[in-house]
Amino acid sequence: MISDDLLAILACPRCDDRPPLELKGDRLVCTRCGWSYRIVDGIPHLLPEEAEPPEEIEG
Amino acid sequence: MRADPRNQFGREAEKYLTSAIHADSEALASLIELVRPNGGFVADIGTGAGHMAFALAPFVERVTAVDPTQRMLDVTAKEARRRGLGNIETQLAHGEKMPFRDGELDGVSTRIAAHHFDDVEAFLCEVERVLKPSGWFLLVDSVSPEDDEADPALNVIERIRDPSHNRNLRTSEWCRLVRKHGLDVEAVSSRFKRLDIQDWMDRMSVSKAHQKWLRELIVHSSGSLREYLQPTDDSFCLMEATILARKRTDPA
Repeated sequence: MISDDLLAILACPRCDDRPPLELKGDRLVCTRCGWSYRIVDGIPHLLPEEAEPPEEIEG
Repeated sequence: MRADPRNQFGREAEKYLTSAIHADSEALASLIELVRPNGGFVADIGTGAGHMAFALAPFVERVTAVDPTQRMLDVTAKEARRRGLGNIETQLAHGEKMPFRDGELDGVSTRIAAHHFDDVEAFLCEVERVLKPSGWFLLVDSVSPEDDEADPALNVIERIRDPSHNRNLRTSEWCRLVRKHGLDVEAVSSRFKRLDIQDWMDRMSVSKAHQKWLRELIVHSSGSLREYLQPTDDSFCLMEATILARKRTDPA
């Protein structure tokens, strides 16, 4: 789905300093702001406007 | 207000896979010859139906095909599988907010897409940020005439045809902005592409009323705009510029 070498260079487009993302289940989660990005049919949706805040995915 | 390219291209995605202008294999081969990509990790921004990403794939370790339109990426991912290109990944993202860490990419390309970008300077800031030192940047896009009357007139025509069109910059503007954003221009070239007016309008599903209007504007253009468009009854020209640049190793 997402290769380790790709994951290593991905960054959160919401955060100005582009911190790394980590894979949690079927989502990519920002290690700084905690907002998450969906992966739909293998395609990561790394759009700031589609990011979801931490509480919404925990609920 | 300008239309969202995602709405425009979501509807038209498949047309871009077979469009002669976009799939032009000779043009793509000459771009590969120019860039001479040599391994590494590259991204194609505004990939559309993925033609530039497919051309790069045999020469690099991995290509990330980036576009803000899901339908386009569906077409790209399906075609990459059909071609057996296992090193292409697709990603929904904006060129102005690239989801990559600093200095990780060996190359960034954008082909026939930049005229849709909301903020070209923000895009170039991102190109500089994500490239490794000496990383390459390839820009291919239609450009405006270097003329104060013809430039805005051409962009009006483009916007009537495609409401998500933002602006064709002039070649001189691109070179200035690329240099401003920490990149050295290594090669600049341009060529006129002759387009069939009907095909060009059909690709964007232009309404009948607007088709008539566009034909009038193109076929009966005058002055410096006419010199640029070189219209016949059923075709006209757009100039396409190609710029190859490289990230400075020692930023001033």
